[in-house]
Amino acid sequence: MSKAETVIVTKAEVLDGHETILVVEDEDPLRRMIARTLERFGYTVHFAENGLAGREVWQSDGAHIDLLVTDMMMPGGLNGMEMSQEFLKDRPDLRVLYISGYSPDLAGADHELDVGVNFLPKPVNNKALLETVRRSLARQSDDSGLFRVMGPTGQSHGFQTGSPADAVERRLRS
Amino acid sequence: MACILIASFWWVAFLQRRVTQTQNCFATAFKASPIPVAILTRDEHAVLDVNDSFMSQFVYRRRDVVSRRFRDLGIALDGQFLTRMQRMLEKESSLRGMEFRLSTADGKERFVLLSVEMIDVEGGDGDSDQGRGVGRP
Repeated sequence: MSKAETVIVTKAEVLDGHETILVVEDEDPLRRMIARTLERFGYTVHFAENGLAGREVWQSDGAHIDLLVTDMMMPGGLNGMEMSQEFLKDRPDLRVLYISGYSPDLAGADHELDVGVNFLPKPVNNKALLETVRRSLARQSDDSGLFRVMGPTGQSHGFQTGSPADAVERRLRS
Repeated sequence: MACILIASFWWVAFLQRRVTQTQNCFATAFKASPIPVAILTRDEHAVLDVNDSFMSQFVYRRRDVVSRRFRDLGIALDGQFLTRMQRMLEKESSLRGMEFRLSTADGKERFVLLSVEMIDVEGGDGDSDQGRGVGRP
């Protein structure tokens, strides 16, 4: 039998990028921190302080936005979940990363949120933010509207943009 | 006696089959991973292989990097990085979250977190410098 050899396996997790990101967060310091970090790592960032302001940015620049980073719970009449659903109706290929101090389970059974993939718990640190943004952007979609996202170890997770019944109906129609 | 011999042969064949299956799984995971991965020799840091994600994200072609020493490729923007990594690998067999600035083949600077793992693979011929010994996935 041939000899064993020791090799070095290096895995490079990219943290920077050139995509355009809309950050919607009502906490001023957190919004500024997220925007500054993302800009420092090469991203183009738009930001808004609540859902209604986010909608205005979306109406003017929505076509260029690759990722929406939003707090789930925000005051002002349009929370992050409602806003993202509205945007996803316009652009089903939009990637969304939710931030919250609450459990991802609060999003309900219709939204499969995975920590580190499309959900980032507060308090937010820079490294976790950058890693999760890359994973959210790496998410792939198929034609049926049932999204597949790649987890930290490369495993695939289902991610639905509507209710399970909607997804099944879309698949049947396709 | 004959039964013992047959059982031994059967057991060796079974183990070899399992090793082949494991190698195939490793090769598939390596190729399909969305995260850029490079396999280097321990001593010379010669590139044995890179996966598709490495090539697409850093714009290198496999033939331009395989069998070449990592330090000669001009990928690392921090010239001391490999020396530091080697020193740390003498103490630990794996490293996590090392910040690394690299240059893509088209001259863009990228910022990555490196995870490094030393593993033993079968099939080496002891001449690690030549970039042989690891089956190409």
